[in-house]
Amino acid sequence: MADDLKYGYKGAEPTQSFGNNTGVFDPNDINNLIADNKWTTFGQLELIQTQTVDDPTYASLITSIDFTNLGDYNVHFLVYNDFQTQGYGYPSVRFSNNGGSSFISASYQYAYWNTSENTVREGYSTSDDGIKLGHNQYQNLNGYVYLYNLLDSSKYSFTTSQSSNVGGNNISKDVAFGSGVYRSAEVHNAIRFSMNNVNYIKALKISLYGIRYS
Amino acid sequence: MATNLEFIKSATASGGVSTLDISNCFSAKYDVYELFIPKVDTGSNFYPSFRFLKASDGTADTTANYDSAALLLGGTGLGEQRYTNQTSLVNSFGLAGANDNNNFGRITIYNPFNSSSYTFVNGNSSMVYSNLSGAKTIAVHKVAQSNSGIQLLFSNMTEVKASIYGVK
Repeated sequence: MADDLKYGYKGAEPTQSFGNNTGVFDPNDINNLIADNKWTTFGQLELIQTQTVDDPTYASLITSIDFTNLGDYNVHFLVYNDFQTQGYGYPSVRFSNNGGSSFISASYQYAYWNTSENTVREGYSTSDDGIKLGHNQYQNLNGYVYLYNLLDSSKYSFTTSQSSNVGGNNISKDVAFGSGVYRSAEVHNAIRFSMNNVNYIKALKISLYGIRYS
Repeated sequence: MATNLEFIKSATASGGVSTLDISNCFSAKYDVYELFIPKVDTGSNFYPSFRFLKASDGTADTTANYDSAALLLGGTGLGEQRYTNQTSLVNSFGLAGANDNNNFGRITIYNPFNSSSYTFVNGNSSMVYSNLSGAKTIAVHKVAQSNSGIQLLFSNMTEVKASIYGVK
């Protein structure tokens, strides 16, 4: 970074880090420190992107939503609401190792616990085509997924999740939570969210956040 | 203006140690905390466990006042765990395998610094031991005292990173 008065100092400069900024800063210094993740500012849940679907007649034939910009975070937070699809299915996530050109469709592991007013369902697998987040859900689905180590080439990629929904025609109210992993130590630089990858999406608002300093 | 998740500190462990203290992370500034542990590599299999550090002297509270229950989320099936009057929050977060490029997940901690309240915990872990080994957990530290930090009881840590945040 070319700045004669870097971080408010000429010559030797004090170490700057989150929670430990020293000096008299002009706007340029502050911008540089923000760019270097060294400026103390609270609000570590950082929005990366929000996407919406509003397709009441399924005219656009949308089956999934992809996030191809994951920033540089160790932990991501994916939150969705009013997820409505053409039919029952399993909300799920998949990962890509090529920036979203294609998505891995095998060897995911997961377990979830899903309950409604009168039924408890368990789901688990050591080899499926995605990380399923709950059982056979349909309308008005709301929930979140934490994603761990997607961008770390030395770690597997993990998830934890929770969701709730009202079933078709108000026949049930469900809640689900679970965990998942894709056991390959490689960078996963895109996320796909869908309902079984086949059901058309009628409505959805979904946001991806990064958790800074995680 | 401060909003949402506020970073407090990170702590790391390596060299084969079996405890990691995150000291002086709780204060009167927050009632609720989020602890993320995304980086876990160990030389041994282990059951992740936790203790709280007393604000009075900074040492771990090892009294038998920790209760926990979990629904275990495994890739080959689900199960249950319940423990009362333990000396740590033990065996309620699943089983982590050695050298498995692992993760822990996150826990939420309620009222740790409040000297007139018990400290409550819920969490969701996602790890690997042979296959997926995770848990959905609730827990309580049944002592109305001020806690200033948390101690991770892992095993033979070669790389662990934990970050704690206050929730505004």
